Amino acid sequence: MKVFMYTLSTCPWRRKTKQFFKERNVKFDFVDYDLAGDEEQEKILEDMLKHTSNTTFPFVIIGKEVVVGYNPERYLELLKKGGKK
Amino acid sequence: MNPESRKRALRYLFQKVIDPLGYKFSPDEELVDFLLEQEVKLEQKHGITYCPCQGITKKREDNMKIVCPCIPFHRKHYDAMKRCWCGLYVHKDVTNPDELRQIPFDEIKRG
Amino acid sequence: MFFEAARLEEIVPGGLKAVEAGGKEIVLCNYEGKIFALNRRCGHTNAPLDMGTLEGYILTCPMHHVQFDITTGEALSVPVPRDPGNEVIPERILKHFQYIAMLMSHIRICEIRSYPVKIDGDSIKVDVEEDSSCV
Repeated sequence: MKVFMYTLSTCPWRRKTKQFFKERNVKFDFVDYDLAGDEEQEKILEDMLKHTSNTTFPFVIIGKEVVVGYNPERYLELLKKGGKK
Repeated sequence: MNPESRKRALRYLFQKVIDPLGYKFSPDEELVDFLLEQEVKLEQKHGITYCPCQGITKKREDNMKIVCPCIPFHRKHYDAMKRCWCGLYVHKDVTNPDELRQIPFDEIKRG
Repeated sequence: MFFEAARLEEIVPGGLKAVEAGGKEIVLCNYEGKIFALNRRCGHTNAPLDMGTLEGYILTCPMHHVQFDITTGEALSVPVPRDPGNEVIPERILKHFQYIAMLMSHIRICEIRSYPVKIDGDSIKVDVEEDSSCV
């Protein structure tokens, strides 16, 4: 199951979110929005605003589901649905 | 510029703003210290204390809504969570901030 | 040498007052009843700090909103960027603004010199070294 996240290098919840997946040996890809170039930031915003009304982080995509905000219970729920422990 | 002096000054200034709004600094000292440290870094870079957990865009109007303390622009959202988005501030009656979840605004709008 | 700068009743808590003592321009600040004397000129671009605002022990310069700690004179922040607005700026003027911005990026924010204060009855006295500098 593919896990991808948009994060901010300045946000403490980013570390907790990554830790959650690392502890469960779930591979994930991420992009730090604030460290990206102008053009990439535009693309990220466009992508995020398709699923949410504001630019709050962390923004995690598990499979096809989007989770905005640090939410370990929801992450677990979605991972279980996808067949991972 | 001494970051510790700036953090202390931000605490002093922000406390006066959040108090009449019904908020206080989170009892999680480590989190507060980390967030203020990030705000000082953001202020060094942009000249403004932006929220460390929200995205800065090219639209100034939108950016002004995430200048800390950004509570007045997100009253309904934050009051529902009893905390602000990054967790720097919580409602005055909160004793255990770990119990408070980061709820996306869309979820709250839906009711 | 101590010079009389003002009377206590002239500055209420939270207040700022520009005075001259011993040939120096000074701003007197009242922080919860205690009087502090600092150089009147901002350590950034020399603006008059008495025309700024005092919040507790934090003095904000009116020109670029740099903040200073009046108990130590240290600068606490950097200049706040101006709102460029939505109007279209003519090319010539835009180039000028960009040039000024470039020069300003080389400005260092210096800490502000503070002077010892002595309260004598209702008189505020400031210890100033008489010399030719304005700082």
